[in-house]
Amino acid sequence: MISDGVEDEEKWLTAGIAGLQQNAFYMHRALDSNNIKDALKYSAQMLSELRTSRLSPHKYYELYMRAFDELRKLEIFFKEESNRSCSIIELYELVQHAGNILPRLYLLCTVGSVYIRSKEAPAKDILKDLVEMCRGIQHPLRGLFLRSYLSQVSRDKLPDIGSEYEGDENTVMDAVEFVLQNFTEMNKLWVRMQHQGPAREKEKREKERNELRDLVGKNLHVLSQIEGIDLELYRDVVLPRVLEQVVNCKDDLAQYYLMDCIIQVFPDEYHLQTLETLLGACPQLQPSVDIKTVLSGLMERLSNYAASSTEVLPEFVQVEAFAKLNNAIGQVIEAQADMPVFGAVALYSSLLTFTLHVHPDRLDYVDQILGACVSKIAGKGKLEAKATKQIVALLSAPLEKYNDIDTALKLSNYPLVMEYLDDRTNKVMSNVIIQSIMKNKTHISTADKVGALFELIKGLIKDLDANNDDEMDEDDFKEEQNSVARLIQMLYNNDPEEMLKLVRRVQSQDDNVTEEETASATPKKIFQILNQTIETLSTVPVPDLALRLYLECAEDSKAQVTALYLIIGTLQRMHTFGVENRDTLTHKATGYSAKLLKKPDQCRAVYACSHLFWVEDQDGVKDVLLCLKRALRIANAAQQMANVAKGSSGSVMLFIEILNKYLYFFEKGNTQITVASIQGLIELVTTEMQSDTSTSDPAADAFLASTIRYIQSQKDKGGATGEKFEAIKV
Amino acid sequence: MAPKRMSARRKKSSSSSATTVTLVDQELPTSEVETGAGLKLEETETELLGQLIVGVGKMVLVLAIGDLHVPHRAPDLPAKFKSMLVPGKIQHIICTGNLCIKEVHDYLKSLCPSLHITRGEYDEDSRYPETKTLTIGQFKLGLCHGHQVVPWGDLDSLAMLQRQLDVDILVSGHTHQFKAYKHEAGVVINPGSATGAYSSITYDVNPSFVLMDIDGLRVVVYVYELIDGEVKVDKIDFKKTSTATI
Repeated sequence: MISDGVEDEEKWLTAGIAGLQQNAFYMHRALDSNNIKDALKYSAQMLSELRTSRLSPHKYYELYMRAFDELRKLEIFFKEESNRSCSIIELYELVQHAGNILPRLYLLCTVGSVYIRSKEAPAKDILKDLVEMCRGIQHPLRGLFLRSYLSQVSRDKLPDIGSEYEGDENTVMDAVEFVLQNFTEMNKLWVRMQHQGPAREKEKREKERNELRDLVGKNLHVLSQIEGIDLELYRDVVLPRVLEQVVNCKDDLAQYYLMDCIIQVFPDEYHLQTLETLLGACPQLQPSVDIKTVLSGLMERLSNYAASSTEVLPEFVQVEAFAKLNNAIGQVIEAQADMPVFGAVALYSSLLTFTLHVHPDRLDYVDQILGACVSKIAGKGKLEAKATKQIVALLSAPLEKYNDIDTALKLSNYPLVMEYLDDRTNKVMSNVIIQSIMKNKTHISTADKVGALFELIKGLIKDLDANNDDEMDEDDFKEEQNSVARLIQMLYNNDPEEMLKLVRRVQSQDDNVTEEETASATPKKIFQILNQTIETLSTVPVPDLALRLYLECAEDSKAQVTALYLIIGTLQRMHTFGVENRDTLTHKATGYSAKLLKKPDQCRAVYACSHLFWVEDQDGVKDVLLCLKRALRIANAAQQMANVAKGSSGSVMLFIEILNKYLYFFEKGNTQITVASIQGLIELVTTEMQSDTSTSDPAADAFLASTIRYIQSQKDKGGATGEKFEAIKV
Repeated sequence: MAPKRMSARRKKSSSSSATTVTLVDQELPTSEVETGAGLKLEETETELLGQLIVGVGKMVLVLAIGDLHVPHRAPDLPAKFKSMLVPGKIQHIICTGNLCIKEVHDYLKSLCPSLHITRGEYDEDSRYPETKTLTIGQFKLGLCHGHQVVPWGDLDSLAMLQRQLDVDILVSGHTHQFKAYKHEAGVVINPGSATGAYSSITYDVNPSFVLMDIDGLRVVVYVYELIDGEVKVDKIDFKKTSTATI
């Protein structure tokens, strides 16, 4: 039987609808034949279907809506009827003959609305009469729907300012009284609903009750629509009366919903002017009420209100909105001792958003909030994930608002809040900070700011947790360090003195650099710093790096080659040395080049060195040739090695490269490079390529071909160059 | 990165978008149109922008970029460049090297999967080769970072590398100075530093990169340079003669 509950309900609903429709049919017939007695009889019978207690709110609503539609038709008939014969007063008496109370009251409300419209009696009296009569139904579900019906049919007939029903003794106060009374009664019914039925079905009942909440909330909506409720009336009558009911009902479901409802339906400026009253109710609510969501909702509304126009901002200052909200939050947190940390932080987060909107200039407020937050999370031990998430939101808000890390660095409590983040979240937050700096291209321009900033992001710079067990992913670590390295680019000051201090501060993250560092930023000083840094780097103990280098010795030789090219390239551009120093360095470089691991690398580095000897106004012509000849010898040696190894060609490539170097210096006017020597090289290459021992190399073929083409094009140029190249036969 | 339209148009070029469309439509289908005939620079810019947005025709867009030096010398690519470089518009990226970190590699890869990189002296990724050649359309391209070519940035020495690699277009970096020459039978290009990173060779570096529009035997080289926060575009036209190698 119990398992069939849903099915049974469906059956009862169907039966109810059938009964309703049947009576509605007879009611229509009676209406068509103007038979008012029958019409009332059948409509009362139709409405009797609403007397059921078997339906859930959901199904009952379905039945109610059908009855509602039928009652609309009846109302239209009544309107016409009153125009014709039977007076509305008689009708108002007549419907009260209905046998059962529920149909009687529905009919009374219907006729009542027509009665008000006729203006044959003051609206306030009829409204009062109706709202009092409805007390006759004390069954929660039936009562709620009946009063909801009353609210529905009367809402356009309230004696509001500007309404046709206002005037004489009908004032807006009567409208307010009527709605407030209906609201109070409905709320009582709604709260009482939870105590009906067996205790084991409490959860289901609460769910059903929640579905009915909008019936109650509708009254607040009606109140908010009453034009005549000005700030004064709202502050002195409406809000206190509503809050009184909310507080006194002592029901957490109702309290949460209605508080939220008040905040959502009434205008922002009213909230602002009655903040104290509204916030005063918060600590009086049941401890289980989710007050943080309610308050967050309020602050969000006020934030949006503040953002809507700068003209309203003075209002906020005038009513001391920040102080009041801050105070209220403090009280709520104190009153609800077991509120989870994330709840408290969420509250502060909302207050912070509010503050950033309303008082963007009041950094002290922001700092105050962060400070309050610190004292809340202090000593709570490890924070739950939800709380950390809220803290990240809290810390990110000022960054987003000010778009400027400078401002955040001024907040003394900011780093204190970060202290409470766990290692991972601290890093996440540090990254948010770095991203903000990069996005806004904020230059960090003083040593103090650098210090403050590095204090904030120390999670990325130092190992905060020495005995951290979980191994960090190497790629993640790299990424982190890369973002810190990018940050370094943002530390900048045009003044070399300041820049030096800045660099100093970065260098010594642990100790605070004292002001004794007043030495001026001479180039010497800068070199000293660079040297120190390089030394520090070179002492980093990385045994596995050394091992890796050892294992990848091929890799190592590659690095040598690169380093050597950098040395040669740099030397080639240096003109500051004296002749003697220059000679020493040049010969050293050539010497090292000839000692590289692989012959081709040797050869190429050596011929690159030839450029070191080729200096304007200096007698280097001979040395260039000597250097190229040395390269040639190495190429020869390479070729012999290749012949031994059989098949591995490539040394021809070296010869062609050297040939090109000869051509280069030939063109530049080096007198030691003769046509004969070039001719000799070309022949060497050609024979080499035709010899049977070497396998054909398309790359070498192409290189030679393009070299020949080049010589040809130089010939074709004519003039001095053409003449010069003319002697070379190809 | 959310796809955005190219936004780097100079003020003076913003006027004539209607004429541009026809200009593009007429010129694109035929690659035999004589190069640079009657084109003013202002129109050229919008022409390129139009192409990037429309993405029609059979031409191939190649991005040449290099010497970013992130994070050692620059935090990131300029935002203006980032908003111009959108995924799906470029067919190949050739990068001369010095990226230097994986994040930059990944970023370039996100712009275009066909990514060719040679190794700069600061690149830790040892998989990048010293030189690389590839053929796009009728053109053979050579890529090399350039620190190996002494004297650095010397055109005649680069020309030797061009002959050695046997390429029509040689792209190299290292000097952080944007350069583009028609040299001997080909083109020598240095896209400069995309982040404007300093170098020991150049004092003041403007961020720059190069976009090559390869269409048949013709290549148009567009150079994007960021000067005082404004993107300046220049172009060089090159048409390969039939006597060239292939």
